Amino acid sequence: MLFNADLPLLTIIVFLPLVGALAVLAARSREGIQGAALIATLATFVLTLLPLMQFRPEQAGFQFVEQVPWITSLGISYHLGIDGLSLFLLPLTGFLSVAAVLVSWNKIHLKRKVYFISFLVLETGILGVFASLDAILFYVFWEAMLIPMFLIIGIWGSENRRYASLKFIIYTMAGSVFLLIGLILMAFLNRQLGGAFSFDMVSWLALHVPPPWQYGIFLLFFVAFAVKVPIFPFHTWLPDAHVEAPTAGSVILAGVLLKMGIYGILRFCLPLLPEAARYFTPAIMTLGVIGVIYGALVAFAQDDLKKLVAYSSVSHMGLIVVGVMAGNMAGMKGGIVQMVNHGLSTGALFILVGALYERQKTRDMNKLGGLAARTPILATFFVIMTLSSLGLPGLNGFVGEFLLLLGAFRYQWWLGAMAATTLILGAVYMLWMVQRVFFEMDRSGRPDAVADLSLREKLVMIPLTLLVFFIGLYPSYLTDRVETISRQLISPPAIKAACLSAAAHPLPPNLDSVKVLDR
Amino acid sequence: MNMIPQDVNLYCMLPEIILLTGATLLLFIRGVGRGQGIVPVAGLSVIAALAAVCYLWDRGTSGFGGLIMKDNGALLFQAMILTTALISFVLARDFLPDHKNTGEYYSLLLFSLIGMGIMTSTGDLLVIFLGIEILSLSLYVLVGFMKVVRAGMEGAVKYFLLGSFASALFLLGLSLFYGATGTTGLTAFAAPTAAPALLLAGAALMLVGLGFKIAAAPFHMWAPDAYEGAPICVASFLSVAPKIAVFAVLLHFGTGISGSGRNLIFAAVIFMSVASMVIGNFTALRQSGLVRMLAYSGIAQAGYILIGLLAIPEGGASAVAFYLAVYIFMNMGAFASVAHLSRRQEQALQIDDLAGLASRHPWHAFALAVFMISLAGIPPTGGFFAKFYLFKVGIEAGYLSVVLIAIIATIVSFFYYLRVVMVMYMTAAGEGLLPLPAGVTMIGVMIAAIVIMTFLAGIMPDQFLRSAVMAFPLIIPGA
Repeated sequence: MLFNADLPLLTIIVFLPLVGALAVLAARSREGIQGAALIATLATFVLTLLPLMQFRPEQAGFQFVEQVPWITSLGISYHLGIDGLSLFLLPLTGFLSVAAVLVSWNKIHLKRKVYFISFLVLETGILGVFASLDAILFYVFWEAMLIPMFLIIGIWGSENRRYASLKFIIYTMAGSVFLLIGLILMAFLNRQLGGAFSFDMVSWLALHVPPPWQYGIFLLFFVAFAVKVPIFPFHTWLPDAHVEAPTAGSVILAGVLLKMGIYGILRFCLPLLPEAARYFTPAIMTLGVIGVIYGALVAFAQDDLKKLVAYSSVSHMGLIVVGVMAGNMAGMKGGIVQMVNHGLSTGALFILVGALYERQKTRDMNKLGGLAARTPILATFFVIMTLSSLGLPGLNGFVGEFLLLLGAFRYQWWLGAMAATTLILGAVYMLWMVQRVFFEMDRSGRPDAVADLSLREKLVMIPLTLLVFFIGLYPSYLTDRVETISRQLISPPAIKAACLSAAAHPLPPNLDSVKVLDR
Repeated sequence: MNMIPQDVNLYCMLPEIILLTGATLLLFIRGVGRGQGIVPVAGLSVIAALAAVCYLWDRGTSGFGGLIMKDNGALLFQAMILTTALISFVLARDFLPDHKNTGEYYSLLLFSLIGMGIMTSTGDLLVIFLGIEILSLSLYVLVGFMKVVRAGMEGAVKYFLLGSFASALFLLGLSLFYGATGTTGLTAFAAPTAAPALLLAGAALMLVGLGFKIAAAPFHMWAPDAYEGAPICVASFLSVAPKIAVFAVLLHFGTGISGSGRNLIFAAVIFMSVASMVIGNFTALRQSGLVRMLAYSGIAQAGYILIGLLAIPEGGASAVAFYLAVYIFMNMGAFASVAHLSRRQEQALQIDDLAGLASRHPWHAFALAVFMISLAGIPPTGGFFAKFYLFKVGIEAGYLSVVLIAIIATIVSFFYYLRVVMVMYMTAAGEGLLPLPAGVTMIGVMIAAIVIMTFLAGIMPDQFLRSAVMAFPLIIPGA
């Protein structure tokens, strides 16, 4: 063990980027600012790998728990901890933050300091959301993270950035204040049902919320998370935000921020309000399927590369929603795994689109073409990430999509069938995009040489590609670790027992998942 | 009311006596020297009054036959008012150096502090009226202090006319109350009365009078003009201090009220609260002047705070106190930033004048952004926990629908608060602002301190909260 048990590992992980932000603030030169940001994100990333190595997959309940009183008069504590759900999201955040810093290297000329500080504060916020076990702590991180993202889109975005940033922040804030009301109601229920007035999520797990309350609170929660995912029809902020955001902003937005919505649903809605979740499942799954098909069809009609990838995100996130709501092992595991996969492949696609834009000064596919011959390395990475995104066997996307669709089929065969159109539609718009951008004739009218990926960009893309292959070929590394949490999430009473005893408990009989990929 | 108090305990008026001495001294200083020593005397008297407040803490002193009660709740509110005054002194020092009448200015401010001190520490309506009048008369003059500015005179006249009207209404309500109960003590609310309708009418009229003073809708018309017309150091003071004093009075009201009239009065408070939130927030959206925007935001904030009055048994008093404490910092901070930016400017500062501020004055833009974010109630600033606590007690008292309206109003408020941040950070530099003085200034240090306090209240609110909760054992019945 590198760290002994007394060291508050999660606290260090969460607040290290903030320390880095102070270092950036103190830095004088351009190199100093970028260097401090890179060191801070790299160190955070390395630290996020430690929980991954020391995590005990078979153990139920939360690990690496830290708890100290914070605002005792309101029943709020500083409570951190992770389980299988948040385990992979921490390193994903750490990794994409490093990528975000590298992607912005020497590219930012306006208010450089504020830019890197915003990213580091943003990283602290995201890590805090994934590690919090106290509802108000969660909420503070959840909201605090919005301001840096607002600035990133609004200051360093393209022409229409002010509109997009305001739309982004108003949508998400509007959702989250309803979340706040739901959280306060939960704390009151905790007191009413015998506990103290407390925002501790672990103690909430032991509650059986009375059904009439469940429906109301579920809706309050769901609005906040649905905006974030985004589930159709709450998705309209996403294309604007993505198109206007700078490359690194899009990477974090698509790679991590969207995951927070699914994370919230799995952390709050399903375990705390199981009856309401069951009641609303058909409606949510329908919205998910609509999102899958609608996102794909709209992506199909785009000429702007970034918009296309943005709408493909709507489609993919819809599929994750369908899977996790299906209420079986396959869907749940697929959903959690796909959160990581989508983060990797979509993040990578945004990096590549950004690189392309820098070289050609356009994202319009009608003005691109024939780039494969001129930028072979960029094209290779692009094709790999496209294939990963559309779910080619052997790459990471396949694992997640297969499990998700399996889960959907087990729930309702026709819902699964409709969700499965993503395979066809996704292949169509993704491959068509590749064809239009990298093959065919050059339509740019500027047939001069184009620089291929630089060393720095390769440094970002190679680990991403390796991860894509690693997860595709060795998926059980992920699926094993999310096994316990998935079982808890699909059988809500079990999670309560698990958290009260915090010991591994006998397998429930509904172990219906085919262990296809678990060899 | 006992006409001849048995125990004249001057001790319990210690802060007011200090302030009175200071105020009188200031009038003489002006006559003697060339205005030197004015600011030190004013500052020292407020600091001495603060020390007296600390001295009286936990002693529960009372005097004048119980007419003046310095319990911890009253002292907490008084300390908050004095802090506000200190902050506004720093602004005034920056803003008024050329004026010959500064002695009068500070003297009047100290008189208004006396009035507010009396308001916070009594349960007798006649004494409350006395306090309101001392406060109002000083403020009428202060709002019109810049005699040369036309807009200033307009605001002052408006404030004076509507304010005296409100005072008259309060007095009328007071007489009806006396007619119904035969006493001017607020405790009579709880007792059964022979004429409930008369009592109710009296209470309603007094509520209207007090609603004027906190600029709660629909009695808010004077606020934007008065704020804009007044010197900005007065506007900042006007937007916070009277609110604190009047909310102290309203908490006394709310504690005593019971019986059948309670529901009607509560309905009126709910109406005022909702109207303030809706009118304040939606009108603020359309403002282009920074001070006017802050004025409407203040109306909306009064609406939020009124929720606390509905939930006094559930800890509403401490929620109101905590909100007001945070409100001092964020609102005075915003005004201080605006004051600093608009010094030597000929016209009122427009929001668009802030364009590109982040590039030219990054720290200043950061401070103003923090105040805006805190006013909007976004963590990790104090404004978040202040709102959180109010909403919590509101829900606990069963006013979920009012809280939901407050939530929607909050969403609307994001637009105009964040617009300021957007203009500062996301637009190219305009030509609206004259260059700011470089180097460390007193006002800059103060703004930095307020920023730190705003964050502290958001990161470690427990200390603030506990003192707010501890201060109200006497106000909260049975708590």
